[in-house]
Amino acid sequence: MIWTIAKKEFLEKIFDFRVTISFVIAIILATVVSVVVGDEYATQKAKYDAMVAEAQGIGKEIKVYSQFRSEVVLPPSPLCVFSKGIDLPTPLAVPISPQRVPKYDVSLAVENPLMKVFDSLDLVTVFRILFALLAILLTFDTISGEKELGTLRLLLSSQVSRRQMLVGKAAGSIMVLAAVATVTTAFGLLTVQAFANLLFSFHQFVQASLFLVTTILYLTIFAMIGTFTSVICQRSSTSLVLALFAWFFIAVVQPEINTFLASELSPVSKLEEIQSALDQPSQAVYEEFGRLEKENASFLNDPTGYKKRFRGVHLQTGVGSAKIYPVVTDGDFQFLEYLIKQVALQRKLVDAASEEWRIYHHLYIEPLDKQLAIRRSLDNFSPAALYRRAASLFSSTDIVHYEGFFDNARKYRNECVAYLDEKGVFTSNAQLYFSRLNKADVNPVDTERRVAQYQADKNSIPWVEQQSPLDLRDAPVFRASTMSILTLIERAGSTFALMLLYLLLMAALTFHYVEKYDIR
Amino acid sequence: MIQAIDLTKRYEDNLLALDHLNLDIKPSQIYCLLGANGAGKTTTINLFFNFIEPTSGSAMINGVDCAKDPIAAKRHAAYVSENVMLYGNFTARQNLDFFTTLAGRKNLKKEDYYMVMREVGLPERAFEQRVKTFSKGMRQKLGIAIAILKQAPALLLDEPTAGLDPKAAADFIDLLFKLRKEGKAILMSTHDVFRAKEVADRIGIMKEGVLIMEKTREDLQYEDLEKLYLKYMEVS
Repeated sequence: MIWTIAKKEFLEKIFDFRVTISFVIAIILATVVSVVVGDEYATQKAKYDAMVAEAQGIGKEIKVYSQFRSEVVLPPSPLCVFSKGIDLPTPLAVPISPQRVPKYDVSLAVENPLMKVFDSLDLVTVFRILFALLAILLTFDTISGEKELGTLRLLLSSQVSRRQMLVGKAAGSIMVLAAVATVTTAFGLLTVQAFANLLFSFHQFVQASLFLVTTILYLTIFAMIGTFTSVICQRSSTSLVLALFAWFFIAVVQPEINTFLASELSPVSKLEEIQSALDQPSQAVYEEFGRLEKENASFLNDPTGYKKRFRGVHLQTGVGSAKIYPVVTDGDFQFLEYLIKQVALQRKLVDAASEEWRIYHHLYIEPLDKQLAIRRSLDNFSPAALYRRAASLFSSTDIVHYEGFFDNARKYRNECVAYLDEKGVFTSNAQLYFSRLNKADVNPVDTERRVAQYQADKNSIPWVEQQSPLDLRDAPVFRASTMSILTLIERAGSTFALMLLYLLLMAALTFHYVEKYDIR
Repeated sequence: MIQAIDLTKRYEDNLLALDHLNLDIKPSQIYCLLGANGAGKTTTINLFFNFIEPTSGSAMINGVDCAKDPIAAKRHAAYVSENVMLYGNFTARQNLDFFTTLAGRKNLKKEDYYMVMREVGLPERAFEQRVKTFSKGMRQKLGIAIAILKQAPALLLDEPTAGLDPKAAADFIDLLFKLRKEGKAILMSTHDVFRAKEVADRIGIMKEGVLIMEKTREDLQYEDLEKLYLKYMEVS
């Protein structure tokens, strides 16, 4: 019975001129969006490939460890055609440096990148707003229309209960929505494939399937809202007005209100304030660098000074200050003292970076987490926001994905610091005897010993310069973690369960009221 | 076959639409309910199909209480309304297929549908035509075809000849005779006194929810039904 009604409903809707036209318009829009986002992705992917190639090229030329600089690049997600997610530019290059803990660059956050008020143009937005409207237009007259048409009594005079009729009719509409959503999603995937010339992995295919399932569930909620209004209204026109109001509030207004409320309830400090607080720890160290330079000004500014005596020295403040480390050819204690002190300050810069991270966490991440938690709580009452959350998760463009990337970048940076420590980059010896001294000798040494060592070696080692690129095979490697399908489902579980709950709630209400529907 | 026992319906606004109606229509009987608009004729039919629930009393079809087990009761009854409306984008055969499947009849062939459509007098060209192009008479015939294919022993018709041209109405009455002959119990509400007298085995006149008169064909043999009807309508 239910299947017979569902089949009839499906055929009736699919061949209905108005419905067909609406869907054609929606699909054209979805196509345009897919093409635009697909093209954007292809550009981002090309940029990403270039960035990675450049980073690899630099790595090959490193001759001294203190030059060891790395950069990790967040690749754009090929599933971004579904949901662009949070508002961070991709590909996002994050420099890995001992004196910087990887984090969202505050300068990027013109607006709060995690709390967008307006959505990007992507398939989620098209489904969330436009297809939800179509779901409403498809179902607002499910029962009232049948009554107005005059077929309701004939339908109910057969051996069909009201609830069977309702389930059958709703199922037919959902089949139409599912078919259109599937075609549109498949088209989105094919567009990205064509533009970026890639083949989706099994993992990404499963992600896309999960996205589709969530989309159908979301559209089903709206189909049920339309059906519900049709059983509480005697006239289809009243039902349409009520359903449109529900659509406008639930699909358009509510998610934006949630974002706005969360931003107001837990504001994040102003970017300038954060930036100025972040600068303080390293600023103090740079001031010490300045004082050191002042103390040695007479030496450093001496026209017959170190540059003439120490070939190849390239002094900068910051970690790994010398690009090519010379061996002092003519002992000059003042210069050696200067270098030793400068290296000691470099270690302070590494500590300052940790302090900067703590400040950043306190001033930005903590309030932002609070803000996100508030929005998450509010979003739990909004099917559209829940859908956006799940879709973003399945598209690998959500906050969890970005946080995971930065967590990995931070872990990688710590590994790099440990690696450079092991290679003696933070010792004065690394500056002067870089490639000759073995590990046991690269610990900080007192000036006397180091100078004595230098004097002992000076004839035999006029220059210590690494001529060939370093063998960096033992260097840490950045590993981007991919969320397993099970983790993905687990993370989306509560969101999916809540959406299902809303659907069941609407279904229960509709079931209740259809029994009371006056079919006279 | 079709029974009403003290069947009463009072709406939420306290309107008494049906007051202790008692009916008993046997197989091969046609019962015509006459009455003005709002007399309770459609309410009676609504109660048999459980479109509305009775306030008291019971409506029974083939011994099954329509309020207690509506699905089982509806298995034994077919319905034709005053204005049969069908799915306009579907053809006559598709509509027939849909409603007969819902009525529990499966595996019918195209030819089975064609046969019934011929039987009710639909022209061959209309069989695969979209119903939105049909006249009212054609839709009524298709409604009857649906009822026939259901093979239910009871037929409840709500003013089925209203708005039909004389030829279509006459064809319709012929069909009713045929169905009576097949053993169907038929309850028909109508305004048409002449058709009622022509077709009915028993006639009931309703007024303000009350069955105020009931006579058999034999009783009415020498009476003018129209005068009788008007007389009952005038009596307050």
